[in-house]
Amino acid sequence: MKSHRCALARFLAFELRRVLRSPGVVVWTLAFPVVDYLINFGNKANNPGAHRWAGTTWAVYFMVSMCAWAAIAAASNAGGARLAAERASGWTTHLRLTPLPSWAYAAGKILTGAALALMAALALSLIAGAAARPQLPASAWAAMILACWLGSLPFAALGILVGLAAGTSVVQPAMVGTLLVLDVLGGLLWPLPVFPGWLQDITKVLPTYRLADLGRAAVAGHALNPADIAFLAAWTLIFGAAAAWRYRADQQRAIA
Amino acid sequence: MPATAILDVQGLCRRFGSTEAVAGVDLHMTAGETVALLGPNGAGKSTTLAMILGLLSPTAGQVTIGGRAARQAVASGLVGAMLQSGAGAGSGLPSRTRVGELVGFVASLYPAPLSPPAVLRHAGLASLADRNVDNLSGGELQRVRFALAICPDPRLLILDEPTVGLDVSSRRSFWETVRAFAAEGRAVLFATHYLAEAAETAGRVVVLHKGHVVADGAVGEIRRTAAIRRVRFHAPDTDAGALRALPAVQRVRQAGGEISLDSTDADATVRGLVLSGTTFTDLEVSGAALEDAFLALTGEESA
Repeated sequence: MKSHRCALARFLAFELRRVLRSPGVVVWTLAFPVVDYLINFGNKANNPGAHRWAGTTWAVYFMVSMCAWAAIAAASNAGGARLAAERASGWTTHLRLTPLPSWAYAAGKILTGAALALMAALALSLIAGAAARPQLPASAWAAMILACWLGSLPFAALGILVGLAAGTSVVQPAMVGTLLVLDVLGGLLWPLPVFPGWLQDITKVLPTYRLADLGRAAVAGHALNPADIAFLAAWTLIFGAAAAWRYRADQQRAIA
Repeated sequence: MPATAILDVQGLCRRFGSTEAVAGVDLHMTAGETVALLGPNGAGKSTTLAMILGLLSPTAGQVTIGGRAARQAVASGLVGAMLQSGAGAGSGLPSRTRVGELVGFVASLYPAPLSPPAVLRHAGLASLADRNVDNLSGGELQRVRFALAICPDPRLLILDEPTVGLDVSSRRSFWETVRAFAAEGRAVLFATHYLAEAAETAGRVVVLHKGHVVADGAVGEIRRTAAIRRVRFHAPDTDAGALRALPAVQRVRQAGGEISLDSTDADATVRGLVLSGTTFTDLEVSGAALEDAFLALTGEESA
């Protein structure tokens, strides 16, 4: 057991070193949300005077959205195209020829996503904080980062699912497309109140909305909504179970 | 035999849908032996190796490596393997990592690994330790994949068509590396459809065809099983069809003025050729082509 935990730690360190060398990670998880935030946090169209967004200012509301975006992109990156490529090249199979247990492999991938998500959430909130200077107590910052971080868990599982299910040629558009749909419908790019009522009903089921809602409750100093946590946990289970099923199917496919 | 068994495969079967990819393979290897698993594409070589390594569960039969079940043998580092890299998609190696870093990581997973410097030395990679794996040539990638296979300090090394896509010189130096590693008393089992490789490196050849073992013996025995020799000469004005009647001739091929006869008894064929009064130049009898032996064994028609 001890040696297995060591193997997990080594695998995690190995994965983190590799992922941080990937320029795509930096662009997609950080550059986009940061730039989008810097362009839009002062947007007058979205900020009609004293209008309050979910009990807070637009600058804070949008910061939570972009922080959620960054955490989601980072978490899902642990799977996605990287995983599909590793699967196609035979590296995943080679790891099965080592004593690294498959649960440690899965845990290592998820933890890599979680670590990236934490870094992304921290970096985004630091930059946003420096730019917009929203008046927020330190505890609210910390609670928001924590919410975005833990709330990104279903997306780490989703990334692994897509990486296992999609071939290398379609995985990139599949991953970006899935996330974009979830991000947009989940109200991360445009605020929820601009959606028509029927769309808001769909939005409220999505993990992206639930993640951002958790973050907004944190910055507003409200009690955390148990429904948010329940939805996020349910999505984690759904994506995780589907990923485990794909993983098993993948292992027993025909070998030419 | 008193020698210790390193690998014991009994009645191994694997079915994919209605296809019997492997249909009752028995294979026994003693410590230090080098065995080639020879067969055309689709013979069931990779499927057999995947089951030996516990990557694929057999429909029937069992695998024992050094007295242990496959997965346990893999986890304890008894066996190391180099599988085929994915079709076109890449190298079998993770991107954005350095050679030394990768070897260090993989070695660290095993209970009693070779030291990373020793692995790099064996694989001829000592000077490439700091190189990024994304910037390696085909031959270098092959060496890195070999390095990962020997990390566990294995008693049994399994190589699945390890030289596919390599140029001749990379291929030759790769097999030199394998032979040096095998010389330390380790057993090697490799799949190949390059027949020369089987003859040059293995002490024993197991021929697999449509999921069955059709021959299992020393390279020389396999050759004798279907001792085909090739008699070649230059004879532009000869009717090649008539040569089919010469003693021991199995097949006649003609390309330009060049005629080539496959014979089960080259001496008799050449004698017959001379007696027939055919005018020829540049007579050449080539050593047993294992390729033809293999085709004879499996009953396949070659192109």
